[in-house]
Amino acid sequence: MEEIEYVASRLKQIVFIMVGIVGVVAGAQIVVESAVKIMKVLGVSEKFIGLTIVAFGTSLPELATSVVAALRKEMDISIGNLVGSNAFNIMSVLGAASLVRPIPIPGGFIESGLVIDYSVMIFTSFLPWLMMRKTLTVTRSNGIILLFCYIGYIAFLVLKG
Amino acid sequence: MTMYVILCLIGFVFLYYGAEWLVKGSSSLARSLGVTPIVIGLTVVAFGTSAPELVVSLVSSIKGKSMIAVGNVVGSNICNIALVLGLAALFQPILSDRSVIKRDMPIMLAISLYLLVLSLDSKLGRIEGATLFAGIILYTFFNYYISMKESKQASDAAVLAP
Repeated sequence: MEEIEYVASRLKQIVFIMVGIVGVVAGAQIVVESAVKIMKVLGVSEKFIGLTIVAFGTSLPELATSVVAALRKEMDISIGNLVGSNAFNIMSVLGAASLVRPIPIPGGFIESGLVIDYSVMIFTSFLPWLMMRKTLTVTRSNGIILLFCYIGYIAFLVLKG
Repeated sequence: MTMYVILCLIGFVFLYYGAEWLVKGSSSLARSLGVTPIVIGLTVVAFGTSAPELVVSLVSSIKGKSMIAVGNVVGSNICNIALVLGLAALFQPILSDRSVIKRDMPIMLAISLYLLVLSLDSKLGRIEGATLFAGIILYTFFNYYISMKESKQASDAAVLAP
């Protein structure tokens, strides 16, 4: 009896993993295909679509987790996890992607303006450190400043086209 | 246009639930194989929750849309801090551990600066990618070492406490 249960749950685990992988791979294909189409209709650049729509979509899990935790008044929104996720994004995502196929930056890193987006990334990595350095807290008003940074950055991208 | 926006949203739903199922299935499998929760958190969960970013950037890079691959990572990192942390703090002030200031944030900053240096020549080559990937392996071992040390300190403290 236990043996059967064990096998069934192992099967369930494998099914979860397989379905999960298929879901992520299919989702990624759909997102990239449709993002490229949207890009062509709007006449915006690959960089713009990657930085805005695609980035927002792939950050939805983090966003959902944090907002749900906040609404439930739980304190398990860990800054450590968000920071770790950023370190992971750079090293594993760009590491793996450039190992599979070298990633060119068409138009040049500085000339294409990507250097500005990197600077914003570095600035937003540094800002919470400044905010928390003494009190170890990100206050409500700090939160508003961070949100304004995001809105300002997206507005800058839209205006720049 | 509307159709592509709807398709894109459907893709996001696939990414979201796909990652969730992947994490659920693989952490349950790892647990039943006797892997400790710390290791599961550092490896299976960390890789699983990054799977959407990883696969989206891989697919765009393979399709020759390299700027989507890079933009996705840079934009996600900005979004994680400015939007996610900002919004969460708006609901409720967020407390953090001292180690986040002393260790995690400086590491993230250093990695971001390293990526900037790698990108100055307007490409990310295979060797550069290999150093990043070696970095994630080191980072995982480092986190494992830290959490073992911390859990040992915690249990020592528990023994010392009356």
